[in-house]
Amino acid sequence: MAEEKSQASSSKMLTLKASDGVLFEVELNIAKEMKTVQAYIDDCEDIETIPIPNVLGKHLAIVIEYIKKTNEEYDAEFEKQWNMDDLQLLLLAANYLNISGLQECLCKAIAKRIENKSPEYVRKVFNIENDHSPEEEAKLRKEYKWAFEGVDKD
Amino acid sequence: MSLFNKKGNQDDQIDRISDLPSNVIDGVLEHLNIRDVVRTSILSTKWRYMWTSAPRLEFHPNFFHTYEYIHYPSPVVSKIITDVLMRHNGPINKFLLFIPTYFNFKLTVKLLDMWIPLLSRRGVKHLELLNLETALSHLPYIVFSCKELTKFKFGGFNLSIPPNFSGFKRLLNLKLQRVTFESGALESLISGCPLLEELSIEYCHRFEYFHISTPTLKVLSLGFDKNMKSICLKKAQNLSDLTLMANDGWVPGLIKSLPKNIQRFSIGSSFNKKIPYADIIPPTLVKSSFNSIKYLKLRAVKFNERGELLYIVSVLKSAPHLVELVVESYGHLDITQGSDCSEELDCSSRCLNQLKTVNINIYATSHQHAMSFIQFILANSTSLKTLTFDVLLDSREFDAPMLLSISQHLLLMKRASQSAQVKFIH
Repeated sequence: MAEEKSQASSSKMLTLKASDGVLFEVELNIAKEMKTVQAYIDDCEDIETIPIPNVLGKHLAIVIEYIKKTNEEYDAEFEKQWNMDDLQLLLLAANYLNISGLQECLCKAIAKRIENKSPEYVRKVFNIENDHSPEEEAKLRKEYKWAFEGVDKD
Repeated sequence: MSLFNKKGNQDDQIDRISDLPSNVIDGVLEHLNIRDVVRTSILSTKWRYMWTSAPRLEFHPNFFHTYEYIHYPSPVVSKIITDVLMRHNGPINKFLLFIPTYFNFKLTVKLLDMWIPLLSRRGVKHLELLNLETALSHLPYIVFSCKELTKFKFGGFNLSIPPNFSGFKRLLNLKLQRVTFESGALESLISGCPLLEELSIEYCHRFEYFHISTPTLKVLSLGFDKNMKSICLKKAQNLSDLTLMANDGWVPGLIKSLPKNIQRFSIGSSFNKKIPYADIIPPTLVKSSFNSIKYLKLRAVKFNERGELLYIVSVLKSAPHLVELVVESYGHLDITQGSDCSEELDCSSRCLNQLKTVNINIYATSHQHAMSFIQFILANSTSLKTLTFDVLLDSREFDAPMLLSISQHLLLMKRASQSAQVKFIH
């Protein structure tokens, strides 16, 4: 069950500045869910604007929304809205901001989209360039023959 | 969402994942089965050895299912597991082997003598060995030499403790499932875990007493059958979260003592075997231990019995700090009506002052008496935020007018808390 984060005991507001300059005013208890921000606050108590240099405004907005709304139902639907590129950028953001719940949700989502898929499919999804030589690739397929059994058809 | 869209701006063409920090990649690999994990080696030269430093190696039933058609899968399967362990290169945080039921693969002493020392050298902290194939064997002694374990789960073995057992000194979390205890084995095991905080014992055999001194324990979950004779928890001074499940029905007087500072308590039985709560948690226990309870879950409550309902109400009155209550009553109850006891339930004592959330989940036939109970709660909970009444319908009994009348009745009930929300789910 999601906590009632909107009825915060602390009404202090904090400003977060995304890498593209977009500003977000958030309640202290929301910002504290980002452990990186929490550490920042612990270091400089009077700070009012915290720079978030690695995260675009677009993604910071999504992250803040997630923190406010997270619960079982929300998390289940959350990942469906984003393409693979956004998912990865959100994961990078969650990693930098140190929000374990969001990281876990995103890792699961990315894994779900590639589970049991062929290497060709996975490469396409992530834009990975195959720089194995044909001999190397054949050798790997032989070495790990058991791992290549039962893969979904593309 | 088009995965193969070659149009769109340059950004969509970037290979981000190969450059993600390794802890982030490990986070994704964690949620993939072992085949997917190992197959990443073929994605590109950068990925060739990435899987070998993934900190978790897990062989779930879906790995074993592929080999079900083979007569003697043991050599095939054990070779693959050994291969993976040998090629892996780095610390192994978690190792899991979950062999499904009826799969013809025995976790032999020979195999574990090979794998466990390797895992131990790689610093394994979390070990799970679940062996659901029918022929039980003893948990090989080599497992007890994994001194760095912090989390250990095993099932499908006989438990006997090696004579030179020096304990799992760092173990915090222990889970046992379908284990048969040799005499004194459980006690020896637990006393070898001085830091144990979480313990779960389910579907185990020769499990007749729980009198174990566990001063560091915070969370305990016990599932037991009719052979359980006595549960004594007064020595678990730090225990705050307790779950007791009788798989075969309760024996009256089973619980000899409860810890004083218990905060979360869940109690129930499966297979519809019910006995009155007055016998399961007698008044003396309630009086001495329910003072600090914040979360209470009562399963298999007989709503259509007046005495039972009155007793539950008296239990609630002895839990002044209760914040969340869950009451369940599933399975086919006898359809006898039982008398209406709404007058006997005191609706004026304001006793449930901290109660914020209530979930009542029942099977259709006992709804009238559940209504009296709900009326009592609504009238007495000054802090109530949400009450959810979830009714599993038996289509013979229910139709739209009946549901409507329940909804209306709920709306009309007097509430001590102005902000209380009542949800009726069917």
